[in-house]
Amino acid sequence: MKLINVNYLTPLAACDKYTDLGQFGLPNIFSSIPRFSNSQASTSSNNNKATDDNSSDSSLFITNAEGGVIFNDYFDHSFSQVFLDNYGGIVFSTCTTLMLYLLVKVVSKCFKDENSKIKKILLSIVHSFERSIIMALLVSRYMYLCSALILNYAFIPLNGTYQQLSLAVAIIYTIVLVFILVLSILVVFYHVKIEPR
Amino acid sequence: MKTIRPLLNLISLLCIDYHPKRFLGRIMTFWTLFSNLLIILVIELLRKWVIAQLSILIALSAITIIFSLPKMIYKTTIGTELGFIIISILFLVLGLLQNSDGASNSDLRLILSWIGVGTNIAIVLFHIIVRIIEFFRLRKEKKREEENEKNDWRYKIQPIITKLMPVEATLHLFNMKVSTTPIFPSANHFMSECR
Repeated sequence: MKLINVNYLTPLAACDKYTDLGQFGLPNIFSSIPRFSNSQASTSSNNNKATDDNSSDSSLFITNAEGGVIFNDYFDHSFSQVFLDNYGGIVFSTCTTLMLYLLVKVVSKCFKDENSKIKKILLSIVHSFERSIIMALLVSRYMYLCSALILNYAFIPLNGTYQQLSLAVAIIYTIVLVFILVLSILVVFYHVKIEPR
Repeated sequence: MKTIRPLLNLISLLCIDYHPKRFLGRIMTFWTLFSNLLIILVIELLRKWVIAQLSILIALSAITIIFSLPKMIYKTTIGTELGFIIISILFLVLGLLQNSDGASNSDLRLILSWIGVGTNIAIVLFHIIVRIIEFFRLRKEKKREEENEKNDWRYKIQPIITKLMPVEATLHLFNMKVSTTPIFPSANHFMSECR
């Protein structure tokens, strides 16, 4: 709601500021990798839709001097054109979770005794990863994901390794998103017995 | 379809909140994903047309309420969407008033802004309260089911045992009637019967 271009005064702006979880405060480590350029402003010149000039009303998106897309003129709520700038924290946490999942899965296979307590604990962790965590990470910031993808495809920033990597990650996330949407359509017509987790 | 079936388990987590056994519940899963995508598209692409933006948002919330109305199982969704409709209407009024001058207008806008804050907090509190109530309700239901199961086991196995044992012995086993006669006939009685 805070992105709607209305001057809704300070109380509501402050409320939005404190209730928005953003990227859960997770760091976007991709932008801090050396030799990765994080040039947002240069990307806007590549696209006809974008413009650096705030006064231009003919374009679909309005960008500021730093290349951020402005949504609310009154409170300067802006988003980056680069996917990883908007969603990098969540991508990082997803990667960390996946790494942990693979590690736990490999370690659980090292235990050959089926009755071992440690193996049982590890297997339950693996199951909880498979069942919930990855999906929860994807869904909990779903609107952020959609927003970051739309802006990424609207501008297609390709200036430097960081932005190219960002586009690659965005394509992967798009495939995942489309896949989940298709599955959710299929689920409507196909009832499978779903057990509560 | 069989090849896709294991993959459908991926969606199970999304479906659980929306009663997956019901057709409408499964539609709600897809609709939630799709409507959120539409909301973001509307917010990002129709930035210059605030009234159109808010009208579409209200319409999407109304459709979600319509989906949720049958059987009244999605009370949380209805509450949340009503909250969003109120906020959208507030934004619509704020948008119309923002270009007009006057002290009374600014006071009204400030009041509307505080109402918006109140609605936002109410939505969050509503969700927390519903979760707490649901937790206790499910716990109570589970306890009741466990008690019922404990009480039922005797009645479930009774017919099987009745076939295997004499009636009096069965009644004695289940404490249904204190047997005054011997459970099994005595050996003498048996011999006399044989004669």
